[in-house]
Amino acid sequence: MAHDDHFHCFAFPSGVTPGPGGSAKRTDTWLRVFSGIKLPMFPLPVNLPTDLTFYSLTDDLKALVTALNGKLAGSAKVESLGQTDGKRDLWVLKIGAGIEKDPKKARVLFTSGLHAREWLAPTYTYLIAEWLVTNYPKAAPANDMEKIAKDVLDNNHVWFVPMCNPDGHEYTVTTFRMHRKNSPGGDDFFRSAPGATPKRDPAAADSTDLNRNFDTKQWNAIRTSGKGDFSVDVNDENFEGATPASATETKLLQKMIDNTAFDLAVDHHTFDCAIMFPYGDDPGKAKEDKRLRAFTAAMQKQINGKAAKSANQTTRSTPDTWRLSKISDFYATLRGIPADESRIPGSITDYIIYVAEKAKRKTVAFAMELPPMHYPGSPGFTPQESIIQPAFRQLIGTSLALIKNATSASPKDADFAAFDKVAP
Amino acid sequence: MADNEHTIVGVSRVVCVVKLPSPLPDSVEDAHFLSHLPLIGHHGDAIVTMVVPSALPRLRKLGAEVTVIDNDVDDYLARVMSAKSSDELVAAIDKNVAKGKEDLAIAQAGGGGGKDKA
Repeated sequence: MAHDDHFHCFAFPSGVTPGPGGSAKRTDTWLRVFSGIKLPMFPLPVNLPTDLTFYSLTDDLKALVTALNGKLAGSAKVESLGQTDGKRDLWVLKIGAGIEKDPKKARVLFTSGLHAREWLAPTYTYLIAEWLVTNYPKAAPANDMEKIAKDVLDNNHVWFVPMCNPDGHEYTVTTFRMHRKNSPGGDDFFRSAPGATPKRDPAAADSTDLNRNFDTKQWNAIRTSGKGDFSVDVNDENFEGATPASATETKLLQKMIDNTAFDLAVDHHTFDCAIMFPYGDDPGKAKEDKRLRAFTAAMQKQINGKAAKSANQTTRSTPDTWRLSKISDFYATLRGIPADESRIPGSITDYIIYVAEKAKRKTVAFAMELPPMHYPGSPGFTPQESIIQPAFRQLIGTSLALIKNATSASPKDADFAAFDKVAP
Repeated sequence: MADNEHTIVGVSRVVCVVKLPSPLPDSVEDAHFLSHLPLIGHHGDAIVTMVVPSALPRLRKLGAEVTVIDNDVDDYLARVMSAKSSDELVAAIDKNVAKGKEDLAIAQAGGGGGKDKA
């Protein structure tokens, strides 16, 4: 597929300037591989496509803030939750009318990038924000897309943390594409440069699977049992940390969650086509939340409807089939292992739910595994960039529907179907 | 097969196709080890994973069918990204698996002729 196709499909709106990418600011670079702008900024490690596009997350988020505030004053801001051990900011973009002054509106959180190698997830999360900013009208809405964007942003506040693990992500770009955890220097596989002899950096914090490190209710119980999808060996890629919330990124995200009443939260990952609902660390309880099931059932129906269209096929000439799963069943299904070995301690979505329960609030939180699907020959964590457009079309309407219905007691299929017109 | 045959300077992880034993071993530690190999792909009813070479003998002793298909993770990713279709990637790995099984059989029979790519 020609790169220009990507650019035209996801072109920035007038008034939004693409981040300069390729600047000297290596510390906040990331990849948005949907664009045709080529700005290589440093020698690529082996086996990365040569046509990748590099952007600055900092600049891109700030550009969105400028653009939206230009249409509706006081509707957007970007803040740092703090810095990682690698001195990179953990950015949160907040958009919605009266983002500073009207805290009573429904509040939705989209996160991604906890796992460094899952590049499509941060890209998709960013694109949700870009779609809203792009389509928000400066005056009266002129079409259906503008009506939707205005309705969503006038009545809700949406927070985006597209890159939860910037240190790990940078390492996947510069040195080892399949790195998953944070703090790349913190295990024995660390290479200071491509080709260098692996050796741990003694100054680095333990390299930790951030989505096993949140301080969830069953964290210690699962660790003690020895059964579950985690490791206590720092060299394993699902090392859960020596203690809950031991990682700097986890601490920063937990602080945000502790201090913010989110009505709905989605954490994006790759790869599979799955909507996964908590509790990852308490499988029995996952069946009890009827409201959550109403959301996920409506989502599944809508996304599969979109995925069935030929234009929305991602990596094969067949439709993706999205499945609904307990998080705690995910690995049991994929690996054919016992269910108790599939329990997941310390996920961000469990943490969000537990914080809400403690405060006696109702919150919907779940994870999504974005395409490609698991199948023999699947490109897995390294799909071509041509996956982005169809994946976006499969999902964007549903993401907008989630924001719109964030406080619904029992969302119906029709509540989601209203968004079918987005990226048809 | 000697436990140290996979010690290779400069190689930190190899990519292999692993079919887990069923049922898993009774030992909690061994079952946990087998259950949580990094999952980077599927091949038939087996998984594609990446492990340190020193883990290969343990995998085999626990009853897993193991075939090393690439000595370096980047080499595997290059194959994934250059494959024109999933069928092409599957066919290439099929060849590796067949050759790997053949070599392993020779090695286990004491022929000394072949070993995993690692």
